[in-house]
Amino acid sequence: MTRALLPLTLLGRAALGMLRRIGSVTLFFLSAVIRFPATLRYPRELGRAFLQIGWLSLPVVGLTAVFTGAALALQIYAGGSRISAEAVVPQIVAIGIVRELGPVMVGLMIAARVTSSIAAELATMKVSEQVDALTTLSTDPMTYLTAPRVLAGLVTVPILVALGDILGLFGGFMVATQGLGFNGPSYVTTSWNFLDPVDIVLSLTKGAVFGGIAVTLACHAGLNAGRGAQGVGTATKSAVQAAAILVLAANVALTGLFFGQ
Amino acid sequence: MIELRHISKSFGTKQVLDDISLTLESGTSLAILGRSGTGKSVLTRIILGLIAPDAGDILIDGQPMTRKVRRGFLEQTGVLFQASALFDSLTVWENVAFRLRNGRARVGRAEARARAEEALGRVGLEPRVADLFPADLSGGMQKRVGLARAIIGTPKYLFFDEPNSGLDPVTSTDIDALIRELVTDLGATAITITHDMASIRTIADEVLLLDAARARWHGRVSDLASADDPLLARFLAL
Repeated sequence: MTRALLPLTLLGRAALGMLRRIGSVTLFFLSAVIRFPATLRYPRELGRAFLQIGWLSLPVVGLTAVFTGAALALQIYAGGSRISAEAVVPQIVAIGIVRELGPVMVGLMIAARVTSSIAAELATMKVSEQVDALTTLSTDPMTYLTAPRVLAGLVTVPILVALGDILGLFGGFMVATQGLGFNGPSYVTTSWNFLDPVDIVLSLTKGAVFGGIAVTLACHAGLNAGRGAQGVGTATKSAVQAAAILVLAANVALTGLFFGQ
Repeated sequence: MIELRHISKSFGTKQVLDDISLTLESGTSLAILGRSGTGKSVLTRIILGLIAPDAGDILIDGQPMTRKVRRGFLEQTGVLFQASALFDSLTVWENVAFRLRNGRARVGRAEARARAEEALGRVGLEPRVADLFPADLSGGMQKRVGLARAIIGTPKYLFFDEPNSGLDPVTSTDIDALIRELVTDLGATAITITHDMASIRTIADEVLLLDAARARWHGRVSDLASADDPLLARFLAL
């Protein structure tokens, strides 16, 4: 009987563990949010967070967006030609980039680039007692380390998504006009007219949510890292994995919320 | 005065501290001695509020360690961590002046730098190191910077976690002498974790020997030679 119930027990234990972690990360996020006003006491840390998460992510986000937009235009043209619908390239590229690929690609790039670097940095600080040193120097690590980064994630990632959307559309435009014979002004007008304001709102909302997820998970994993180099590695790996999965899951949830029937 | 009453702490099934009580008078320098894994670091981390005890009380100048008392205690406390724990992203002077720049006082940049250079001078470092980053320094210099950070603001309490670990014997002796001088000059209450008997004779007034999670021996350094404890005798023989 006990053996027969073992799979259920393991499943239940895993589910409880996951719920516990979700609860812990949610409380962690909220405790960072209530410290946002206090981060103004540390303008240097705030500036560093904005630079690290926003400005320094721009090259990788921009290049990814341009190539994704270009490839999307080629794919839609090739696929559309099977049903004589090549003309829909501007509309589908516009909606595909702004609603889905722009925010998701930026979210995944942030999960790869920013989550890994923040998790590794904070985990190293944890194992080398720098976090304890902050506490003994009468400085709250949540206010000094976490809140500026979470705030920067919530603010800069939507901006990165907006730029990624523009550059993705530009990539599609370049391929369509230079390689597929589309007329430039007509392509731009068709794309713009096809987009609805709600598409842009969804795109930016996804950016804020993905930014919050990626940075919160990074800080949580970093500040809860185990001992030694292995602890740093484990924290970084688990943060990146969780961020990538949660970005994709949140993408489905937000798309359903905005456009679900 | 720091007073510990019946402090106990376990991690999982492992009892790390069992019913530790201790009174440390103001201006006294205590060395905590013991083999690896006997709870020396855990005890100091509990006093600093970095870990909560499972049982027991801590009193600072007769007051129970509430959140407010702890805040005041930490504002008057300097800590030298085992691996110095300097902030990699800050220069040497910014590390030393961290409390002045980010604490309640909010000292201006120029004054903070001047006081940091003064603290660096007290630990034997020249002002030219002020603009270097911790990664540019040797282990001994990092310890000195850690010491400068600990003593800035004239703390009432000082904690040193294995101040000699990873240092050569000459630097180690210099650091011990420096700690003794600083503790005496500041009139601070000091707690030092160490395995090194030579250090204890230089730094400490009192010794607490921890073994198997319990306080095995506590007394004055001058009483060490006459103590009738086999484990202590083994340490003394080193």
